[in-house]
Amino acid sequence: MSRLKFMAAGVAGVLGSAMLAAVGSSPAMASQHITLVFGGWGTPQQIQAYQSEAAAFEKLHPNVTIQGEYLPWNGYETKLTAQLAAHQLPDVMVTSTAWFSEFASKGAYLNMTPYFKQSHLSANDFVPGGIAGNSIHGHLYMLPNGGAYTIGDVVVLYNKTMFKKAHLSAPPRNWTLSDFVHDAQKLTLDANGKNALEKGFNPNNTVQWGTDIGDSSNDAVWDELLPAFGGWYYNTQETHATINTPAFADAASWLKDLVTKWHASMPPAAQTGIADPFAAGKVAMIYAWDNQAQTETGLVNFPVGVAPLPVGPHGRGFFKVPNGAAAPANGWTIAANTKYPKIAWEFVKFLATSPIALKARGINGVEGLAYAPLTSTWLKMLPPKARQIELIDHWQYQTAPTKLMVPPGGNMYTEFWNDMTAQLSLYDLGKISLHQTLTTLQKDTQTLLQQQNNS
Amino acid sequence: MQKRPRSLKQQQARYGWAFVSLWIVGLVFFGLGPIIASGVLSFTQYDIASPPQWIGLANYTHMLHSSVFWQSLKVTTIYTVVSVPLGIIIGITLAIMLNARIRGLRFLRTAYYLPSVVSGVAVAALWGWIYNPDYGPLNAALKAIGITGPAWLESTTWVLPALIIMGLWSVGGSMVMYLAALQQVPTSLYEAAKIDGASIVRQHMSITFPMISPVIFFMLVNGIIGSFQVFTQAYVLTQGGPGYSSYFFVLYLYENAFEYFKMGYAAALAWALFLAIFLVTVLLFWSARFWVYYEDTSLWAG
Amino acid sequence: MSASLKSYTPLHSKASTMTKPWWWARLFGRSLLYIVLIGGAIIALLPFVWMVLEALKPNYEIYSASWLPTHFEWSNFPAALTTLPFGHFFLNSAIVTFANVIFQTSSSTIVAYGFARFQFKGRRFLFLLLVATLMIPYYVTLIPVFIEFDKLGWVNTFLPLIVPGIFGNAFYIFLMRQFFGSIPRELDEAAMVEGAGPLTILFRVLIPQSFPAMITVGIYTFLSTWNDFLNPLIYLNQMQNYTVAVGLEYFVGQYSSQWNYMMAVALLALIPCILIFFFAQRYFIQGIVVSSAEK
Repeated sequence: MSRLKFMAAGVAGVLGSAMLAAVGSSPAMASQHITLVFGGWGTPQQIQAYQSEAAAFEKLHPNVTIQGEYLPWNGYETKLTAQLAAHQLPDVMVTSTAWFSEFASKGAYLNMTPYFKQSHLSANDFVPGGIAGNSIHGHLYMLPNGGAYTIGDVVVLYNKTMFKKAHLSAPPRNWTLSDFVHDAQKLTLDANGKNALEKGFNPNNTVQWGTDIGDSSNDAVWDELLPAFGGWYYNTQETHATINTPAFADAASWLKDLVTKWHASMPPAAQTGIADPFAAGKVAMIYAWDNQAQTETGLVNFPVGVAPLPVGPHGRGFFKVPNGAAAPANGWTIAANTKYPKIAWEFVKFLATSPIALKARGINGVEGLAYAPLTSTWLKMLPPKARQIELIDHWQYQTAPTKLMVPPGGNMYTEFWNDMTAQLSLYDLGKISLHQTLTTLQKDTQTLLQQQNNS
Repeated sequence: MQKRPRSLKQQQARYGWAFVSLWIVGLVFFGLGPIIASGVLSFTQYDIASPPQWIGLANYTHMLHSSVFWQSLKVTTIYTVVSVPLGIIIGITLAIMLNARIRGLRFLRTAYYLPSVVSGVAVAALWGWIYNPDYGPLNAALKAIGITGPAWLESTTWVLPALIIMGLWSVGGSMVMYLAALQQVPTSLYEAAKIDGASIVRQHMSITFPMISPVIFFMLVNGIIGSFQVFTQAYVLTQGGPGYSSYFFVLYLYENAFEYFKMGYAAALAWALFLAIFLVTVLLFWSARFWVYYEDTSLWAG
Repeated sequence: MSASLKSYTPLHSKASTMTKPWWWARLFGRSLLYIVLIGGAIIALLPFVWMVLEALKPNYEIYSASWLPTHFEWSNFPAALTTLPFGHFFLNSAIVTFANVIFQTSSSTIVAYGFARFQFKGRRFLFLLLVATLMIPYYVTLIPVFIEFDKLGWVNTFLPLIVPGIFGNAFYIFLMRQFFGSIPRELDEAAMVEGAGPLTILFRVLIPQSFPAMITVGIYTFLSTWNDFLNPLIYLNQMQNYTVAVGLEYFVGQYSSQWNYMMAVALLALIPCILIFFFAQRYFIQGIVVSSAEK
């Protein structure tokens, strides 16, 4: 064979196989090149995770280009709001529970139910409540990604070194809120090394605190603590506020006592400018969302232990989602007016359930895992510290109380929470009485519930 | 030069319009539409996704009955009343001092200017550190002179002073403005005053201040417009807390618009704010004739 | 304060009359002036020392409350700059800022000239309207403006960040008008007698007289454009189009932040702002030149 002929044959072969390949991969879409806009927020590391999973999807679908709109966390929601007003949302979006309900109730997202049904995915394979909680009136608007295999669960993280120094053993699984207070007091040290249980302890010269949850502005704490005292913000039908109740009063005064009576919690003032008191080595135990917990363990240079939430007078603080737009975890949504709903769904399904996507993004992404069949793959990827968190999460699920709670959702969540924080901080500072606080919050929340139900 | 009085006047007007039209074109294309839109929206319920619904004056009446509205207006007014005059006084003093012939002038000016350059997240991190009651440098300095500093950002009493101090830290920006103004004061005036034996203080009172009064007026008007709209400090540092003690008006507006999706209500808030600032500004423009020295007074007097 | 005011001579007047009985008072006053100025400068600069220390903290110390790192991690600077396309970010910031400085300074000067020196019907109304536009909070027009730029097809281009500046900025128009207002009319009239047209008067009479003011407008525009975070974030979609002010924010996460990297880039982003001021301020000592030349 002459050299020329050889080359010609080679070229023909390459062309032929390229054509075959084009036909072979998704024949329906081969004719048309599609650009899909994918929006998400994150740190440089997390953006690399987006880029890798987008590249993995492009590899599987050569006719699709994923165009990333990767933003910082600050300003992301503001931009989405402007895009929503102009009907220019990205085709596929990473979506936070912080605004999912608001956007979903305004028709911003595509109803995924028909696609979900066709895909033979099972709701049971997702985190408990993951599919139901992301649906409104039976329409699914978001596939959950969790921060981990959880539904936005909270665990206790503790500094093992501090525990050792205080001669405390690891918290047992059935520890109670009083155990928590006891340990926290023992872990609170003044400049002379005396702990908060000892005589002569000087609360005005504290150098290390048992915890920091006495700061009322932490919704993770409130969501867990309130059920532990047997209360909730409002009734399940979301028609009546239940704030002016003994349970709520107990929780509020318990939190305040933690700071002012037991001296075991770092006061909010001392936390000014300290972004993370736990990582700074000022605080021994924190309540942490599981996805935050993972980052946390990667940041610090001391050993971190994980414990389940302490049990309160009414059981373990824990909520579970029955249904209704309550968005238990972050997820992926599709813009209602996307030009390519089918391929957008393919992409979302890929992100949520494909091991290829999971491996591409690794463990540093904003997105985690909320799909059970991939759990073993996921656990293998995690460093030991993070694996510990997952296991506690998993255990907490299995032992969750049967009583179901609706976490604050719907349109009024942010406004409700802002008011809650403001009033409670006035109570913490002793500016208003507990009675006043509860009366005001009861009234404000009732108004917001009415507004929500009217609209 | 061939000109009759009447045609000169016409010519004047034509040139005036020609120069000003540049801004008018921009206003018509980019400014006016959104401003009018916000005015119309203030009479509607608008959640951004669905079309606005006309609800008449409901947003405005709701506003008047909201205690948070009055609280945010109060906080913002206190902030404005304290920080605007202080900013002007410190800015002018700095500019006068740094207009003297001294060694290291350039470096000193740059040092004072620097704080106004830092922005965004860096500012938040920085002031969080400064105001920490236990580790922060501010309370450490106070302790050195025997004062126990307050909890600053976590105190209902001290949070507003803390934010005012934070605003004044970047006064170097307005120093630049006054420095520029000082360059325009004819030196001959000082020479004359000196021959008359006027003291330095007197020279400033009777020469510097009248001569830079147009710029002081500008800084006063803009200071008031700007500090009524103060937002970032509270947004990045306190979120309006503790309680509502640093809940600035525009923070209230922002939360309604972008967190609660009450865009119509936010628009009504904007127009209420506009009305307040506008009244104050008109008052200032009226007062200008008594204390602002213009070579060309026609705009205000005629 | 009055002691220090008394103690020095303003630039414009020559320090000539140093009568003997007062030399010690002058010396005392001078020293006081230096002490006050240097003390204030230290307060102004102290936070930057902290920023530098923060930028040099190793990763595992970014949350520690102590402000001195155990060792200086100089590699934070290259590490931070390579996490994202910061070369693009700096270039984009430079383009947008340069365009705005040129456009806003020149057009605001021209419009201000119209308001300051010409009589026409509706002038007072227009000027009040100009000032009034400053009173509408940014956040309430953000969405209508976004929709408008979207309809024009300008989203994801630099146009929304640059084009509005071509038509002047109300704040700077107001400022320039104030400066023009304090320049004696006789100067215009003298030029007019010599046959100068309106543009010649602007360029030959008013601009040289108010050059420090134009420099100020330039400095202000530079700073506000360079530090603008929200507009680039909202109008640009692709990361390689973003500016430094946006780039910085990537280090601030939802739960945890890389403060050391953020501070490192923040410090680098400060440098152009400082340099601009450092060199521009030589126009703020013009008084010296003029008065000594006169003598």
